[in-house]
Amino acid sequence: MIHLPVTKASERIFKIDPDKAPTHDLKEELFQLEKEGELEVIRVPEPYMEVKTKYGRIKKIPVEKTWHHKSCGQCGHIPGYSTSIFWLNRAFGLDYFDPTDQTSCTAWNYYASATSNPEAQAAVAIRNFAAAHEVGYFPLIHCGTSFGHYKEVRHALVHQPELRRKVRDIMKRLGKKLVVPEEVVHYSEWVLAMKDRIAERQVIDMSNITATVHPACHYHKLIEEDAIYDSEIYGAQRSAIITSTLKALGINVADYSTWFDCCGFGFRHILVSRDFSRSFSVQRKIEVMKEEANPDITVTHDTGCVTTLDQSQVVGKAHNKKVGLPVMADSQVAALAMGAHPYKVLQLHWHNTDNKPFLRKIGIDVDKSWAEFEAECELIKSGKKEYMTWEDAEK
Amino acid sequence: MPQALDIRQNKYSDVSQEEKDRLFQECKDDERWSHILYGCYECGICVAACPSARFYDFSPRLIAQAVAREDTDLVYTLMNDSVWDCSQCFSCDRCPRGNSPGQIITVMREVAVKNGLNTAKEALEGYGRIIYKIMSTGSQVSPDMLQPNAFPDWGHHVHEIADNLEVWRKALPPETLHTIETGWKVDEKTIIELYLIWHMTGVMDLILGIDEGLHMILVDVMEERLEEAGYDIEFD
Amino acid sequence: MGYTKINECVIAKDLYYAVEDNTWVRVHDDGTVYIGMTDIAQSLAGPILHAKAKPVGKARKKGRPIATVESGKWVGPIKTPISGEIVEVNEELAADVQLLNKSPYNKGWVVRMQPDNLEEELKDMVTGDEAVLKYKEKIERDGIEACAHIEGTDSYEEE
Repeated sequence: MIHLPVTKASERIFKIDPDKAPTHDLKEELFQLEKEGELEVIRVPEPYMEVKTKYGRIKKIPVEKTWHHKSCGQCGHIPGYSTSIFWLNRAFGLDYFDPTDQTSCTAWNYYASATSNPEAQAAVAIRNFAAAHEVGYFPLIHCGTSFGHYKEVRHALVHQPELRRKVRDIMKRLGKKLVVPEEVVHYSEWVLAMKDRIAERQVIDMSNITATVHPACHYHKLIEEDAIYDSEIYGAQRSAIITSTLKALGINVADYSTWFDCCGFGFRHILVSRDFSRSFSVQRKIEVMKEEANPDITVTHDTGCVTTLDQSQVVGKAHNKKVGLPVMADSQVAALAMGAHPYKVLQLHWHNTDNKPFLRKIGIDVDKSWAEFEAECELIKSGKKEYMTWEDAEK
Repeated sequence: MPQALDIRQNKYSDVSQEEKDRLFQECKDDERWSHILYGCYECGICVAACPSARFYDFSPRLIAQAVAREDTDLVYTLMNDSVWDCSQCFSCDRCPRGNSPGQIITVMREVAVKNGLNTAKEALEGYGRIIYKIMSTGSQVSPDMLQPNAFPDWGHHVHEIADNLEVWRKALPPETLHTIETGWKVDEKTIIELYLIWHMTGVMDLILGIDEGLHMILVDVMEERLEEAGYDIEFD
Repeated sequence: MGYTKINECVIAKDLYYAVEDNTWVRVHDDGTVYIGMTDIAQSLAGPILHAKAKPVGKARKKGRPIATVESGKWVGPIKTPISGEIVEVNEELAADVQLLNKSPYNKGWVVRMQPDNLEEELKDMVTGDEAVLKYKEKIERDGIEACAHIEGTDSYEEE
């Protein structure tokens, strides 16, 4: 009789051990290349916060001196998203940089149309990193697609010497160096790392709120090891991103069976094959969330996800689908919890699905807030003011 | 209903086997190839995770198998009829073998675009505005694209935004967002650097293969701005 | 202006056309020319969202773009059929870009140019009955079943 030391599934403890990680540590390879003179690494400035990634490795998240790599879709269509990220930095009195010397990552176009190539994509990425480095700041990426793409670019540059050579050449002709950041940091990772400080300054009670979380595919499926995992959250079986933040704010995070599914954005599909995006987001995400979790809001951390989940519900409603779930970014929820104005800062009027019931549920006087925003608009319309400033938005 | 995928042998009989072989070789010659294809043992995990597989007659497994077996005829058919259904979400990167069907598709698409395949041109019809925007302004999405005619299925809300666009854009605290034609304010020198990157990496040639008119207006804008900045560059 | 319709596509007989590029030229008394896009072009483009013309003073050779037009599904050039210098840009398009759809031959003109070599270059264009014939051929060849028009389009009284 052979005695097999079989443990029951429920008694097994999943332990993350970075020494047993199935991949090489990219950062080690990066520093090695720097030693060989192949590239220059932009170090994460101090002070930094530490979080753990999938295989238990430490990821450094800068507190400040961040260069905000903006998102096209956010700035173009959901500007309250970008505004909320800046607002959080301002609220903590942090030194941050909002550049005009920034191009789009161009990844949306790349994934949509393939009218580009690895050299162009890498060159665009490095150009932006170099621009950050030149002013002495560290890149913080606003968009999920940019984040995933830049992780991929960094990975490719480390493992493909020919690509590296070509990009170094291109950079030289632009008068720039081949610089690569020590970490590729997504803003939602910064929000998560700051969650306790945010919770300390929370003024709006959200304990009566249930939320579902939608993680962006490009956050945790591309270069999957470089995403935040926490043994206290989902037993480290799923990324802790967003969930960890919302829990710190006292929000009840509810699970649903299609957590891992894409929202259906599809890059090209959202413009040219829209029935795919709409059907997928309504039938695989929104309806399932509503049916299984009945949340007050769904929270995500990427431009495309906010857009797809928010906008697809209009047609869903016309088809009598179970929709009507407001969509927000984690930074907007965090800012709101800290008392940011729903219209002057969060700019919720750019969102489509009705979020007023949610706002009222947490005790916000929606009509008063809207009137305050409209008053600012009147000043602009009448020519008394050219723009609404931060001072106006924060009073 | 999305069309059923027709994968019979020699579907594109008007294209020579040499041509199909050549295009497949172009995929294999890509520097990424050895990092994204290790052979497929047909577990189907990629299909289970794939959102496009639920909507279209699409299978990342079929694509991975076709390239792994070097079935150049099937690869050619898929390069024309299947690759554009992929939503590039990379859920398929969970492949236990370490393949990336998503990236295999990216390479196949690039080869299709580079070689001006008609199916590539068709797939990108209607997408030209974005290419124009991103290539010429360095910003993929701009406030002035929020028009009801562009997004009729987003409902009345888009009308509201379009009507209030100018004022609402001025009612944004960050200064860099006081824009209409681009997502944020971009420096002139930044745009020039972007154009130089397109020039140095041959991206404009890809555009030429896809849409001559688009290429013409892009090159026109770029050459003009480059000239103003003191560069004597031609894209042809 | 005498109009003819083929499959609901309107052609103004008094104008000169570069048929393949779908542009027209109207010679003004002072020797300058107005340039615009045809009814077929606006129908193919769909409701136009954006148009940007090159500025006054810009010199352009025949076949080069004098404006970029964007619709929900398309972006492309309006190519000038003649060589010359732009002397006026239609400011009304800034207020209502869909004049390009509604009144392509009248209010929706795009630029006015001082031509370099009008007499020679007009020889490569067609007008009157010849234009109608060439367009009939093109409509058949390209399989254009009908032209679409948006609300507020000029009432093209057929002659």
